[in-house]
Amino acid sequence: MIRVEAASIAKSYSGVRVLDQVSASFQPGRLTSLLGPSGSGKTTLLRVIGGFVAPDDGEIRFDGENVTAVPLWRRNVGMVFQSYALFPHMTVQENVAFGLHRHGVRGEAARKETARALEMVRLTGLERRKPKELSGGQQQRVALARAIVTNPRVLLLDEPLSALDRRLRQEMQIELRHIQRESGLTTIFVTHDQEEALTLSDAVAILDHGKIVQEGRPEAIYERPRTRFAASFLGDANFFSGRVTDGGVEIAGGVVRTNDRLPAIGASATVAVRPEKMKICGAQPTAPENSDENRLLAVVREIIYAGAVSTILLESADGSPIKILTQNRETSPASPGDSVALAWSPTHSVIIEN
Amino acid sequence: MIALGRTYLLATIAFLYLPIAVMVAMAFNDSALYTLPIEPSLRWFASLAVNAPLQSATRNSLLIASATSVIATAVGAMAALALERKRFRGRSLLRLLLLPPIAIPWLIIGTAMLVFFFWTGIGRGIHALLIGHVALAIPYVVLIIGAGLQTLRADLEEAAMSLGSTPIHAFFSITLPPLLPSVLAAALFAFAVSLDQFVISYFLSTPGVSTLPVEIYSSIRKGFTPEINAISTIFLGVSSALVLVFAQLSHLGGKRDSR
Amino acid sequence: MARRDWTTAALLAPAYGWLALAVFLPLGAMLFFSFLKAAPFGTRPLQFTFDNYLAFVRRPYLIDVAWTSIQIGLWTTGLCALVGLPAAIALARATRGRSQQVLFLLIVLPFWTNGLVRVFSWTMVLREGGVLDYALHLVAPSAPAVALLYSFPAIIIGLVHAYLPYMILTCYLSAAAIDDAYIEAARSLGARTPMIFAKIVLPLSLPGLISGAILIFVPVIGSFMEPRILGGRVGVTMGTMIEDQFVQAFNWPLGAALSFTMLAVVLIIFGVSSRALSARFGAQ
Repeated sequence: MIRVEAASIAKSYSGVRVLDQVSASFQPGRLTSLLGPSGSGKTTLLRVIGGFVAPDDGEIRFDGENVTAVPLWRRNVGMVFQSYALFPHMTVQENVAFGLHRHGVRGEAARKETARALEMVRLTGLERRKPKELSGGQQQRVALARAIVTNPRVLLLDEPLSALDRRLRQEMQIELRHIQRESGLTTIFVTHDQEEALTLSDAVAILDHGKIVQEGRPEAIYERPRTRFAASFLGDANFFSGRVTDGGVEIAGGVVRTNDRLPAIGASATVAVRPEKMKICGAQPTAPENSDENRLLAVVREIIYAGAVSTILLESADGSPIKILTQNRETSPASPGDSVALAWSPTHSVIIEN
Repeated sequence: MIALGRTYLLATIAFLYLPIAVMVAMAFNDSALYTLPIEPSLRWFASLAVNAPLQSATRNSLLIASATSVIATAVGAMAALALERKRFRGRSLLRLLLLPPIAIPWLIIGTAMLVFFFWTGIGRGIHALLIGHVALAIPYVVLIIGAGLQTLRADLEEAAMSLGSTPIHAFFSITLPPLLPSVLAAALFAFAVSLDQFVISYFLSTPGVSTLPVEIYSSIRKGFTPEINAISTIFLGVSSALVLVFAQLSHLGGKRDSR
Repeated sequence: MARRDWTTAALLAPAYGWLALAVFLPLGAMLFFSFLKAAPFGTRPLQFTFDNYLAFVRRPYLIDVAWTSIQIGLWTTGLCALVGLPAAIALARATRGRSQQVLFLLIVLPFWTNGLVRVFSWTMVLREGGVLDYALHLVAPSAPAVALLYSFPAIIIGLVHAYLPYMILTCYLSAAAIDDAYIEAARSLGARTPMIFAKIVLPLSLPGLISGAILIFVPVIGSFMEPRILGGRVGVTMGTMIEDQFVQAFNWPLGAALSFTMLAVVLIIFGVSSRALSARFGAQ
């Protein structure tokens, strides 16, 4: 189990800075996701760590050892490509055994290792097939088996599930998790799908325009996003902006109370609240005496039904949109056109950087 | 309208094959003066066996074509690799430089070669013919292998390297195998280009050393010899066979079917 | 990074070195020669002159020769276009699948047989007592003899036959590339086949026609094989003139100048037509 570190990595292409002094560390044996929109630099960072691309500046360290100058073919990394990159003229067996042969493992030993890897990805029996005879999901598993069979120091995955349909993707996410835990490999996973990042990761690093915006455990980032970007990219959020007063942030419909540390009085501040943290409670504009719950009046605009949950779109007093998420435990709590009061706890008001 | 189109097409093809059919028929005609009607005979094929100049010219043609094929394919493949895979300054210019041998009339190139080789002492003969033929074949080889390289995927080589292949090993075990049909097609093409080449060979031949097309030309100029029909028929057969093999290797013609 | 540049250079060197030796240097040498009074073999000092390029002025018969070459070029290209374009369109749109592949191969095959052999075979068809003559007299015994050999038409026939596959090929590529959707759209708007042909298929096949024309005109004005074999004494073209300078008259400087004059014409044609092509169809 290797600890991987990226220290001040810089990389530019044609004058565009794709990675801007990026530093991150990846815990041994854990799965860390690099999450971000396209162009954020996440794939470039992955390729720098793997050795596919040399950084303009900075160091990559495996367990403290500087490997920045070590060429790709000696770095012993396992990579699963977005396109799977299976060798079309070789069978599944030959594909998986390729790396073993390069490391000097041949014959019976290679066959055993290959069988073990294929069993781990649940593809036993398909050894003689060629890649074009396999389904997308099967090809993906072969790519995974091929990457892990050589016991690499780090496992890298570049949006490997993006070509699969939704159901298959969800199944593979869970399976991937199991395989990763079973193999104990330090794993770095690139994705633009925030749900995927939340499901799979022990840690998430959010990238935007070549910088790491926030990193940490999924729950930590989700509950306490630091910036507007982090709040909107990982999940959904409602934003309330206003001036700081005694007791909270003053907005059009009242004062938003928070348990976070407030900036100086008079300064402008933005509060983010996750949709599922707000609930509809009758039409009372003010909270009961002894509670410091937040209350906000709003008008229901639309209810989007999705089986287990419903997303309710509302409009606040000053016309800004609000989105809440409720479980459909009983019948709908409101109808379009209703004037309702939204309530949420101050713990869930998160002060974010602008 | 479709039937009209098809009829016209077949008529055009008939026009294309008319003289060829005549020539093949004449090869089997006993008459030495191409008089009709045709009296079937194999005597011209037989007399080929004792026609020393024709035989030596044929040997030269085959020798040069084989050598051209090997050299042009090797040299052209290397150039195609460099041109297709890496982006560098001057790449488009280099691509453009491949055009002159194909675009400039062979008369000009042939005479230029004659002038230059004579001046620099390279002279004429088999070596000069080889130099000329290879030069003509190179652009075609680069084109064909270049087209084959475009279907190649860079991520396969990266995958191989991530698994421990050095760049050279990755090239030979991953990049080369799918390229083999293109390489073979290019080699065949180079062979055909050399075998068929007349103009350049004409200027670079000497009275004692020439290729088959040149020999045929001088025979025509000297006077009709029916043996020419015989050797041409054989030539035609060989060329056609080459083209068919080449077509098989590159799946020419027709609408492309989806994979 | 430097290592990769070195590899690239090493990969390119053999091919381009070869081309330099066999094509570019010789062309340069010939350019040099074209400005000399006499070939520089021997002990006489080099004398430079523009005389060779003024040959058209000094020797007016060259203008006739050049005009003959251009006429041959225009006739050949024109006939190839006239015959080839319909054939290509027919191949692209009136045939499918296996038969299309076979027909395509049939058209391309003669392309790859020895050009010399094909020209020679025309002599047997066109000469007096040849196939055409014989066939005509089978049908109409009292008709006059057909002796087409050694005439201007014979040269044209031979050249058209040799270069027709080029034209069919380029026009086919254009015609085959026409998206079926265009034709379906036109049909849904009420157009009938002749109109579809005239308004859609024909215009969209034009790029193929133009590239075919260039592909044919250039080698044709430089041809010497066909004019000599099929034209006899009538077959005097720029090509045969240039060949004469090198093989018979041994006036290499003049031959060089004539060659470069022809090359200049070729380059102008390329330049003008590629600009015209990209101007008309550039946005693709």
